[in-house]
Amino acid sequence: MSILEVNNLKKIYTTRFGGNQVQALRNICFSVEEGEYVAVMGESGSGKTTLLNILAALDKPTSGDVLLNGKNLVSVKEKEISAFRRDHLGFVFQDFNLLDNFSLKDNIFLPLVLSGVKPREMELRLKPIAQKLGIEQLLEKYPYEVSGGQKQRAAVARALITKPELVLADEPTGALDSKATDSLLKLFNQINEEGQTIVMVTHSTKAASHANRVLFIKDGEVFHQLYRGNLTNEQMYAKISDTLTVLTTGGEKHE
Amino acid sequence: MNNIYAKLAGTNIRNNRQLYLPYILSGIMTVAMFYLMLFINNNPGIDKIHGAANLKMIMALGVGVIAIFSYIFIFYTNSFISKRRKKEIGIYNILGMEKRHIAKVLALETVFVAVITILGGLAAGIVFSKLVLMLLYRILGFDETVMFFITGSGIRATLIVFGILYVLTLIYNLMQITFAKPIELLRGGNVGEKEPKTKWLMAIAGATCIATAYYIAITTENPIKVLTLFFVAVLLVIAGTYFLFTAGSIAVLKMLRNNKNFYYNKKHFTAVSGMLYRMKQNAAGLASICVLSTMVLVMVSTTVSMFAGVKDELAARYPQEITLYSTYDNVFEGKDDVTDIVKQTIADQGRTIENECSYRYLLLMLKQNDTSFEAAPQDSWNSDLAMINIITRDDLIAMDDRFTENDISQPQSGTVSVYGSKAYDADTITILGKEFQVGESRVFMADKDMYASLGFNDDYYVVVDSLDTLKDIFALANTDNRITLYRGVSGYDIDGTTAEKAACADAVNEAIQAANEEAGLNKEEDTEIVAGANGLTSRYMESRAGNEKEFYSLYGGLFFLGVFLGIMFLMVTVMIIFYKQISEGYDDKQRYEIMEKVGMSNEEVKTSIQSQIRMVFFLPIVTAAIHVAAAFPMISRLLMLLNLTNTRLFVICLIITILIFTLIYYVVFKLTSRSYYKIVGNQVR
Repeated sequence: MSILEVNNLKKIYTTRFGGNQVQALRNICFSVEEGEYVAVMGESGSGKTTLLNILAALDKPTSGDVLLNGKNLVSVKEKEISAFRRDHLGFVFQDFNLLDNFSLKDNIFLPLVLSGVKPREMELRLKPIAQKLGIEQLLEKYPYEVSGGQKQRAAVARALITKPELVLADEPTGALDSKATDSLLKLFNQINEEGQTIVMVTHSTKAASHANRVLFIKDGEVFHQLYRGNLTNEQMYAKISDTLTVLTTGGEKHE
Repeated sequence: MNNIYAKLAGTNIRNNRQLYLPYILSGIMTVAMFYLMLFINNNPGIDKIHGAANLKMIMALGVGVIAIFSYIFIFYTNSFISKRRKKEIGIYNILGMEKRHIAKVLALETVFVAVITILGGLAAGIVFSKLVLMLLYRILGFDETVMFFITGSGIRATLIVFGILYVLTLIYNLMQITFAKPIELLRGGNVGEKEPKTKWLMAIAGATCIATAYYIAITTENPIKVLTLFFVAVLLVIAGTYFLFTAGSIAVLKMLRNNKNFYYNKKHFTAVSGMLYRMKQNAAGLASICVLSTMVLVMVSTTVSMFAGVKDELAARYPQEITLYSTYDNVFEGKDDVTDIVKQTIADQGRTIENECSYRYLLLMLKQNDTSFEAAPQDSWNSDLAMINIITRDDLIAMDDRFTENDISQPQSGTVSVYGSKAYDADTITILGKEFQVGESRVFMADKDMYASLGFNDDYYVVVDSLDTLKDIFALANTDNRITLYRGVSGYDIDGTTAEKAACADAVNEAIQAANEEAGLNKEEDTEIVAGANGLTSRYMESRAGNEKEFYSLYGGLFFLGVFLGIMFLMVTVMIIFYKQISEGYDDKQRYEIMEKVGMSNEEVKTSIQSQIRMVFFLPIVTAAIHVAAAFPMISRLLMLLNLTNTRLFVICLIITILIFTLIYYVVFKLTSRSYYKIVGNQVR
């Protein structure tokens, strides 16, 4: 069963005083099955950030539908959108987006507090997640006291603690060194193997090579997609690289 | 080439007008107020007012206060702006401007701001000077046409004081860029902050300071102590407020945070952590707001109530229209002959005596030791001494209009009646070693005794059986050459207009001076007490009408200054609040952005901001109100020293002041939260 369905998504930006129109998304269609791990790749300006913002309900499309578990994100009421977002979606950002005035633990609790979950329940939920992510010892620390990799783990914990149907990751490895990148990607695989659906937007071939499927976006359209099948990460890496070369050197659209 | 720098400086100010406009406007107001104070001080017309010396002293005080506060205030605002603009300066640096180029731009900016502010302020000051002077004349009841007048020395003083001030701000700004690396400038305020530590020692010190100050304010009753300890209490409250806001608030917030059910609640979660985070950077700002608010409240309410009650004060200070005070070295019976001279003079002036009284009593300042009142050395006046007035029954009846023959019983031989500001419960009383039985005792406040208004905590009238007993006590008191006062008071109420009364008083005064001359008083060499008839050692008179003008100029001047400085402090408070909100807005912007991304709705952001701002806003004013409440007993005693015994009037003025202040505060709160929300709110959509 597909957990996320994107149909004919269009997004046109208009500059403030009318005039120029920029078409960020032309016609995007794809779907994500439950338990899938999908990477979305594309050049800067290809529209992938716009896509992610729409998936995250941070932005509204000009036309088209986004169905999450059969519910249309586009038609969710303005008032309910924040609650919907924190109950159904989990976010991991490039720059972590942790709050300096909260300890890691309180940062992780933030969405739960907003949903009105009891403190006892929050502690119960945190325990296994913190264990899995290896941040048990860091919970009382503050974001500026830990490394980038540790911050990102806390951010992942914050995304997972609401038990979301879909985790959206925006360049999660963008601000990490190679070691931290490796361990984060391993973590994503592990979470995915436990059944968590993940959609990750990335520049990094290495990051994408860990996914089950890679979507390539160019000029606001899905240009190509790659399935992993039985490929190893290294083989996947090579394949993605080839595709990117084609993409940037301007190949014809094929599927 | 120079043109480019000037242009850049001009553009910078224009582009940062959100920061600069309030800075320049409040600067203009400060300069204008400073000039106005000097203008009043230097105005030749002021010398024509009775009590010009009082007025000039008050205005000079105002000049000093405004100068000090403008330095603090403009420096604070400037440092805030310079912090906000670090990033911009960092970009210039990275774009290839050398530090000396940046320094040139900054210098030009400061010059622009200084020129606009000082010239604008002087212009505003000159324009409003006539109006303000008219207002002052109206307050003082001074009837004179106001001449337009520009004070050159005032302009010079303003230029010097504020010129130096802006040079100092420039030096500060230049130091900021000299010591900073470009990357630091770029990062500006966004440096990771450590969570504030609970400083228990500081919290305890703050609580102790405030508790001590409150204790002093509530318990000090001796008027001389009230005067000296008032400033101690003020300093303690200021220090305590700063300590408590810095440390105490963090301690309280941490306690709240440790209460899981309270903390992990949508309403409190972001507010508590946000305030905890903010307290460190803003404790000083909040404490300043609190101290300034307290100052405004106290200053405005006291000066307003003193001015509103000026008639009462005049009556309290001068119980009768003409009052003659004499002291004698000898206890005697019968009347002092000078009273005939006074009465004759009043009659000669064509005035009629409507009410008169004449009485004598022995004034002793003694140290109370249970039921025994003992001699105290002269220099121990600021320890708690009791005022003992030895008086005969007849004199007491003469003294107080409320008493008739039937009210006061004649004490038996060896017995005294004790009428005191406090009930005297013991059966005996020992005065300077001589013991008396206490026949009757009651609580009594003298209405004509001007010392009564000083509020000495123990003020007893001891009614003795005969003048002989009084003589005995007088002899005891005089043994070791202490100066003892056998005082005679004669008071006369007369008819006529104020001018007529004043003229009559002048005539009486002349007559008394002549009589004194004759009695051998008023000699230059006062080393040897020259005793006149009945052992007269001194004699002088006071007139209510003659002092009315002085009184009005003193209390009116204080009222004017109180309101004037009240406005100034209010402006400073408003500016601090404004800049605090703006700077917090920029700091919080990013955090609310993140929270909205994680799933906080706009509504939730709004309520969270509101609860947080509300707490931060009302903390200082509530604390200020508590300070004022605690200071109330001490201030009302101080007002008593200034002859304002009408506590109800003071309470009413205080409440009205607090209400008006809160209203203004609330409006400022609404306006600044709106601009705060404009910066912070609606990040995502």
